[in-house]
Amino acid sequence: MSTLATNRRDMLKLGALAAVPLAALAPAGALAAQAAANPAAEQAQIAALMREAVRRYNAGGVAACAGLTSCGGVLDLPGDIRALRLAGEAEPEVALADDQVTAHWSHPATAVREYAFDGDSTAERMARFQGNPAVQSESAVTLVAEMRRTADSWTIRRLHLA
Amino acid sequence: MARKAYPDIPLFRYAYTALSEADVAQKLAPAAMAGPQSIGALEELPPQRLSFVASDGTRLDWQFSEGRQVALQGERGSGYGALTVDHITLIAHLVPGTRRGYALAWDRHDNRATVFELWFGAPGPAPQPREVNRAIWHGHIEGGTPPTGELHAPTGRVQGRAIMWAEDTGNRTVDYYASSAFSHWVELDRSDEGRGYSGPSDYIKLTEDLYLYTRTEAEFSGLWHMLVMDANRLQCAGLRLGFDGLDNLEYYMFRGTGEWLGQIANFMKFEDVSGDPLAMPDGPKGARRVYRPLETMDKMTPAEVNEAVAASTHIFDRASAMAGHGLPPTAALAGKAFAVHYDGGPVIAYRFTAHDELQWREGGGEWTTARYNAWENMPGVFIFGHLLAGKPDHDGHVVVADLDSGKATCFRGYLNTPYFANEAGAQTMFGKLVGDGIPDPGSARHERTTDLLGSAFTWSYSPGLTSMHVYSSPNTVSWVIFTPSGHGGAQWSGSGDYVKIRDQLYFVRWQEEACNGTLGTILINMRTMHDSGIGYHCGKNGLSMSPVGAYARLAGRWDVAKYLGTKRGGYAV
Repeated sequence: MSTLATNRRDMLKLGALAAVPLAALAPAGALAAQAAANPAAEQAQIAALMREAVRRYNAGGVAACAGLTSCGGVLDLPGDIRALRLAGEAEPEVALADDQVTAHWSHPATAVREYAFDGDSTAERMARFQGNPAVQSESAVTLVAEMRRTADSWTIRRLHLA
Repeated sequence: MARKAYPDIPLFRYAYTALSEADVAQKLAPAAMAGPQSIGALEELPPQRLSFVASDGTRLDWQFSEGRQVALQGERGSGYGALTVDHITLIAHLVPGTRRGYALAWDRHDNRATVFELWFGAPGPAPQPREVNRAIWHGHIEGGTPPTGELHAPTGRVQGRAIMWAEDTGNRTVDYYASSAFSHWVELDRSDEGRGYSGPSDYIKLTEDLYLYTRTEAEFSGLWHMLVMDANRLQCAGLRLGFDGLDNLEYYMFRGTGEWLGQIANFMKFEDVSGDPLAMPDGPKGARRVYRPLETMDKMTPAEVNEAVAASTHIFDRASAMAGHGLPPTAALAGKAFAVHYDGGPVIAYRFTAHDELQWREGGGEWTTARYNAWENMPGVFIFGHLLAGKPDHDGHVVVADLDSGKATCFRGYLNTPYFANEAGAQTMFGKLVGDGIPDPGSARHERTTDLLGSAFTWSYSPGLTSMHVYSSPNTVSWVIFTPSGHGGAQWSGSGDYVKIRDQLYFVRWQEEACNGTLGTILINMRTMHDSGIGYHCGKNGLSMSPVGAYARLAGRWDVAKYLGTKRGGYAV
């Protein structure tokens, strides 16, 4: 497995990349050869894809990420997360597996969580009465994604917190 | 129910008359002409015109004349009262032929002024004509040197204080100012019970020394009580307006002297001295957030309770926001067996068959399997709870068992109480444990305590979900909900009981009567500043027993023992 940190220039060059809907899978051998030919480009593509995934998640939640995932339910994130912010000062770690068609991505981030005071307890009722139906908090997390190469792009197989 | 001016039953049980606006007007009419009563002499202002201009441009003109007569905006004249504390003069009057009056706090040094319009009935936010509405303006009195700088304003500076005010009427009250939007008070002379109550309040800074405090006894009599307090000299002058339990009009001014009872910590940012955290600036005249828990409480009959319990009972089977910071349940009772012999009560035998399953039986009866949760809050001391299925009142027992001393105490929660069948009643039962390896305490028992009296603890249940308990009297627990800014916000209170388990370990319960109906129980470990407890609740969503657990902070303690230490604790309902 090779591990490289992508740089911003790579991502800027490929920043407009968004994954296209999953096309017919090309033969694994061909995909692997393609990835092996230019691993830095593959890693940059993954990094760009994940930035787009986070952007879409913040804009519309899991549903907005449908085109970037290989199937439903791969965004394995706690339900109380309302937004994710990738740590701007950090670079993602992107590791291509030896098979060249799977990869592992991770990035430090801030998770904005929202706790709704929607229960029957008196404390929650009184919080709602005061105009505080929920509270948000932020915590440092590490986002982790497992990726798979498709015909002309990468898709997310699982996105979760480390 | 005996009708009394000051009921000898909890105020939330008293059926205050639904006075009509006409009733109110009739009672106000003679009082308006006479002006407020007073034990001591009221002051007389020299004949003059006073013009108040508020920051929003509102203008009020009073013409004062001899014989303590005043006319507002050319309306009919009426009697007024005036009392001065240091350089603040409090003036009060009613407007004849109306259901409204005014209270003016006038700084004689710089002409800053605050005006309260007080009125009964529509239009206004109060749901009953007997409850006083209030609207507030800050401004100045024209003439002389106009004030510079800030006008009077709501403040958080009073928050955290407690003062015992002794009025010249002979009435003494312990006022707890634990919130910047509510207050809690215990009448020492009008009621023998020593029970505390909570209501919406205003706190307005006049000067560094002088503050305005008001409270409305919303949800009860609807009475208005206000005072100008000199925090340094502990002097006050006040106004009381409204109707007592016999519907007699109380319209009087008073002087008082205070005793400083202490100051607890505040939790706003250090530089934040702002007030009125529950303001509704865009609301209609007089609007503010008045917590009215009875309005939102499920009110059920015994038949509805039985139906709800049968349809939905949740015993420790779901997460609770009230226990997000709680300790994990312990499995240490699994495999143990003992019986609890309650003094003058049942003998309940237990076999703990798993970490969350026990069998119990009363006397020599059949064993019943029940789900339970337990926490070992201090080594050797367990709190556990379970439902006693089949009991006609759907009893839930929350037991603190000290396996090292052999003592046990139970807060028994039950339903089908007289006022609302889903409102939890509570009974405190003292007893001892009988089982292998458990010492026999003989006649020794856990005992009621006033160790916590006057203390305030904050509780962080889950991120952002916090409260502060005020252990305000031996039979009262009050709770304050913090706003996001850390101000004390809404506050309410109910019957409470306090039992000492060990040094720095206390078993406390409160009943949310006429307010959600929950029985709250917690075992407070002051050494770890963590509690473990159980909430017992029934509503239209069914019956539940759920965990309570929070991080604690000691906010402080007021010295109220000499006024409240002899009051009785541990009411059954």
